[in-house]
Amino acid sequence: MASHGVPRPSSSRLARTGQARAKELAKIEEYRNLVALVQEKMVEKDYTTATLSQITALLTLNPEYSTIWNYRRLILTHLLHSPNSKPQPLLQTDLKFLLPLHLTHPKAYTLYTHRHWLLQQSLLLLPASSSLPIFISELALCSTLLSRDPRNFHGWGYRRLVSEELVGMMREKGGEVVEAEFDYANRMVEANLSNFSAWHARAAWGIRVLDVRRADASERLRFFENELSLITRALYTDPYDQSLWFYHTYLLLTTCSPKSPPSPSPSRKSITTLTPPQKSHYLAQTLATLRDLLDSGDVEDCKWVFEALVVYGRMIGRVDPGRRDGGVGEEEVMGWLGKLEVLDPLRAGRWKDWKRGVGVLE
Amino acid sequence: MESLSETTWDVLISGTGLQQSLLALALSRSGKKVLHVDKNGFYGGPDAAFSLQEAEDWVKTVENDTLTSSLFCNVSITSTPQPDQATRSSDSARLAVSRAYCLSLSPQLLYSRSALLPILVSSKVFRQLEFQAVGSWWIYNPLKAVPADASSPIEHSNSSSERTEEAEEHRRREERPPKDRRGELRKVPNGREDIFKDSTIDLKSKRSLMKFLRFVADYESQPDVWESQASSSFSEFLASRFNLPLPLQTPLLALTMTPDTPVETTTGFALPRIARHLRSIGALGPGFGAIIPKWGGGAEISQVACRAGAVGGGVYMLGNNVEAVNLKTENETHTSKRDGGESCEGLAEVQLQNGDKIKTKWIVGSDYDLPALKATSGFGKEISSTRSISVVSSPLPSLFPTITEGAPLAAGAIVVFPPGSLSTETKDVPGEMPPVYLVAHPSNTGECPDGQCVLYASVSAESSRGHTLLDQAIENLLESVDDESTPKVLYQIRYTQTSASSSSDKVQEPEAPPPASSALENVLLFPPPSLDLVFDDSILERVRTFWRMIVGEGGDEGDEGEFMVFEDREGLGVDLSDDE
Repeated sequence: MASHGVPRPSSSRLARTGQARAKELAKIEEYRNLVALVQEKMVEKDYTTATLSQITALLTLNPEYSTIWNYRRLILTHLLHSPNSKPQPLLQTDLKFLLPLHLTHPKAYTLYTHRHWLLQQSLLLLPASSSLPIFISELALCSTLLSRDPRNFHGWGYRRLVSEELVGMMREKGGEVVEAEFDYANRMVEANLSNFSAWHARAAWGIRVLDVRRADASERLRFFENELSLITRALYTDPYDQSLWFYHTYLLLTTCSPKSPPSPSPSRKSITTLTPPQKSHYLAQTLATLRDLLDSGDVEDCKWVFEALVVYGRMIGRVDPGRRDGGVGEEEVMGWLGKLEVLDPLRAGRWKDWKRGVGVLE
Repeated sequence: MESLSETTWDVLISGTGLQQSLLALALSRSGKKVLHVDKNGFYGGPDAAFSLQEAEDWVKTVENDTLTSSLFCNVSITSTPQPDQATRSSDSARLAVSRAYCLSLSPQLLYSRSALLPILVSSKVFRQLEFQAVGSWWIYNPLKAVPADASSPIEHSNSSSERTEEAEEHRRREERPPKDRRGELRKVPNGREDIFKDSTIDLKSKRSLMKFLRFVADYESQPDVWESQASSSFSEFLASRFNLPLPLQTPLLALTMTPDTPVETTTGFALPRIARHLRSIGALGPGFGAIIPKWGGGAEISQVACRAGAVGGGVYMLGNNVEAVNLKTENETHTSKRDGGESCEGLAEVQLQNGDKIKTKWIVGSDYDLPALKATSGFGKEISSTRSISVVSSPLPSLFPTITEGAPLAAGAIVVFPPGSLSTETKDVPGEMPPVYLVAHPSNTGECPDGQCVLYASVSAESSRGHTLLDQAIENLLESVDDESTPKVLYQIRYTQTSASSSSDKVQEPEAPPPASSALENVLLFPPPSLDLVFDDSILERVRTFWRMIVGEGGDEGDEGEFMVFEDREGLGVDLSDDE
């Protein structure tokens, strides 16, 4: 179900009886009048709190009307920058106004956009001592919203924005925020292994955590090994879950592929840097795990396993040319590709390409 | 006030146990004249909840009442002598006042997908009930005498909070005096995420368990896998079909809450129960699959249902018994019009204990509420369960860890002692011992004061052997808990409860005559309360059948309204329209 089981208020509910229908027509008229009124005010450039409250009423009826949100921001900007303005109460009121709307419309982009704008205003206009508590309570709000729907990517994206900003604001204590975020992502994964967003957050914050801990090469390696063992454990538990493979691929491709960074760079994207023999070691380990999974006999219909086998089977031969025992024979790879053609016929073209050696993940 | 005998009643219900109370609820909007009596001075009958004083009264009543003792026998209460007021002991080590306790005879848990919940909602009585989440299931694992730190390997984690936790745990283990711990509790995995996290399950076993869980999630559509083994041992089935050895079978058996040994538990019994458990998780909130009603479980539901019956016009009399029943047929024609007419059977005359003679069309009750109609129970062979209710001097916090991110507080925990986990002094062969179940209710269930906990123990064995097992289980549990000093049992009610073995898969067809009422067509008898630790949904089928018979078989159900679907009464309830 597209909304993860969180019911979307039905906007297409048809009124059946005459009385309900009349009621609905009256509401539609009221709405239209309000829209016309607001637009009139905006043309007149009537940027006052009176107009603001009309906009509030309108947005409560329809929180997804982007243009009206833009109007709101126009008026707010005007009010915020006028003399004698008190930015803090204005911003706080708006943040509060959004809350019930989040509950009824958890997937509305407009709400998060507006929130983000409000936070940016707070950074511009308020002293750090005032804006910091706002950010902290925003983070708590994210946790609440995500506990209602843990897979709402809006929530995760917004959380990322807030916590990134918070890291900067906390200066020396920023590291605590990074650890806390990594921990949060970890707990969400433990609550539900299928949470793509949580795995993604875990990957992103994992890298930052290593910087915060000022991990040296051996610590990084240990971190990598722990991650690998964690995801392997998860894959054994449920090899049918795509989000787990996604994380597994991320780990291996960013460290063990032939092109993974030879030396750390400022924008480093990998957990650790491996030498070619190390790369082939981990790839060999992965292949052994995959074969073991196959042997257990009940994943014959799991295309992810075969796909992984092909990718890493082909990769291992290329990461360490010095390696004598070459890795995986072409015949075996062809066999796996054959299985893929059966298990995933909609991607037949892709498997054919791979058979020809074209386009396997680099 | 009109005396009872001046009214011609439609229904006389005897007994306010859960089943009869649900029927009263069902009838509460039907316009039928209902007289609901109970021989006790309290509501709930065999499903009631007691304060300490009420418990003592109950014990005395049971000893004197042959009928109730057909259900409950060997009832006794023990309480440890209270320390002096002068001695320094924490409050939790002393029994509080009688009213601080609400010990229930019906602490059954309700699965999220139980049919009872939608009924409580549609009948609107849910507003008078508070529910709490059942948290973890545990299995008791006896340990051989080994030094304290020889335990499962610590899995390495990168998360800093987990690493500090692990370090803490390790340090604690080193510091702990090598107590001769007899056993420890292991959490039963509730599903995929629990299996993932459980470091005591190796990778291969994780796969095998997951394979079984996958199958169970949709077992109905794979009859070829299990139907041929439906009546054979579940243990066998798991071993042969899924390569699951006994240590891995134990958690699955624990989830079924089966009263029998693994060998006696059939596949046909176990599969639906495990499926129900797994399908219920997350249905009402993250991480949990079952709930319990606050303030005494089934007793509270009975109270609320009777209240609804009274508001609907039913007349209630406690402390009044049905003494004699005289069934007369006033009509000579016997054609019972089943297609919409009223029952042709005449009225029955009932003599009540307070002297009133009343006339009624229908009589509802059970073997233990209707002395005059002790029909031979057609409900199946007799089964019994030895039980105890104990008040313990600690809140047992280690039994109630956080359920999961975003979940409510746990208010119930189940500890299972599989066969072989308790060493008894008798010459039992370990595999032949039935499992012991301890259900723990902390103080937020309203059943005991803060700082204490109520343990509901049960085992499917006869009294003396049963109590030996229960006592040992409780002792082992208290000893394995991570408190500074071992908690004590402050108070205990012991009893044996009997029932009939009609199980939930023998539900009566609505068209079939009600069970065990011999030739008396207007007497509707409920079976004795089930011994199942989980609420038995088949109760609702029976209530529905009886309700349909009483309100009449109008060919169109719309005539009599739907079963348990009521509108809010005026002045009550909130406006639930969601126009905005």
